[in-house]
Amino acid sequence: MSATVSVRNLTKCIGGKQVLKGVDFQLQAGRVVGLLGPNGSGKTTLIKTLMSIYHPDNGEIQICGEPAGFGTRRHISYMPDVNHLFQWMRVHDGINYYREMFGDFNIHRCRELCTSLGINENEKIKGLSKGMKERVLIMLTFSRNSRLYLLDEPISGIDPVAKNRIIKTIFAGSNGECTILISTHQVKDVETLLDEVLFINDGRIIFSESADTIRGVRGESIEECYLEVFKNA
Amino acid sequence: MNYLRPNENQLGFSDDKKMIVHGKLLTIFCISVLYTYNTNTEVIKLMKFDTTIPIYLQIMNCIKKDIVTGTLPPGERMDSVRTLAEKFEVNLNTMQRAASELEREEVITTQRGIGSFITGDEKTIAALKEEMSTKLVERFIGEMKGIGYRKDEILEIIRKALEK
Repeated sequence: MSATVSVRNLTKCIGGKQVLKGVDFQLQAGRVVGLLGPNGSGKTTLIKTLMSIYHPDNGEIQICGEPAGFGTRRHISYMPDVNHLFQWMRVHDGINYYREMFGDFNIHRCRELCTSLGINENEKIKGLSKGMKERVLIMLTFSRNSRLYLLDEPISGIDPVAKNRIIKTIFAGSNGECTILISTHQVKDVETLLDEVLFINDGRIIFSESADTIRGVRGESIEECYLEVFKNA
Repeated sequence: MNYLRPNENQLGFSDDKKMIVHGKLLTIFCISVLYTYNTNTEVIKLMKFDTTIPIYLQIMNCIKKDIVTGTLPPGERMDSVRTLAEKFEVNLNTMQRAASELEREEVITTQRGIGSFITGDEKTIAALKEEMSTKLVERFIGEMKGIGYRKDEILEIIRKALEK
């Protein structure tokens, strides 16, 4: 299998602070990968750099075999950690916006997701609760047929019901061909979802392993492993 | 290490107070599968995964159990991996791995372009059943010895429990 994402010795300095201090990893096609780490460890910066929103200071990023840049964004469906839709929009405006913006937007899938997530297309973005906004964002993200999905904190600060629905959507989105990278610090919620984990701390990947190895060889849950690794970090 | 997790109390024996002590021990052996019936008496499977055991193994055990009990009859066609992944609420790779391991163990056979089928070979199914019972018994005896029971005491306890 070819690597969907390959990152070598990536560094990034933001506002005089060295946020990424040499990140190396590869993501294989078809895997669901968790990017796990505490607040301020560089998760969002890493994802934004993959998305070419930030330009790397040093190092190399390849996405689907091409060097990362404006062009590689077409492979990526990105869910930012903040609501990026205009406040005046209604949900269907957001859908049309995505539809015009991205050639791989699948309107049938979008309708299905709206139903399964309980989204009312006529509601105003401004008036949506946090959980509902996240649902709209995840709906838009997974309505695209991308090779790489980058989800930045898709389940933070959300009630268990909404969380469950979002996690189910992610399950349904994993079709064996696309790669999904989920950043979060809520390890427990994504436990059964992940094939692989990357632990990031202080701008470095300190641990990467497949979920089955953690459970099978170490006999630990991902959360236990996380606590153990970060206790010594 | 095996130890009781709170959710295991939900399994089986908890409503029968006499059985609680041994019941709790026995429940350790069960994979956490709850069968509930809705109004249409259709079986809904709710799976609670033990997060310290590889999930594909837990799915394999669950399917094996269904085969041994006859819920999945020999020769029956399996749902597609995608459908099963949705049913078990796991990601496709996990389900794929469970399926290919089951195939390797010859519990299911795949015919290209048609689908996967439960084995029709009675020997395989009987072997499966024996393997499962051996595991259960070994684990039970291990646990009982671990809390200081002797052979004859274990026998006595089982005999009493069975007579109830």
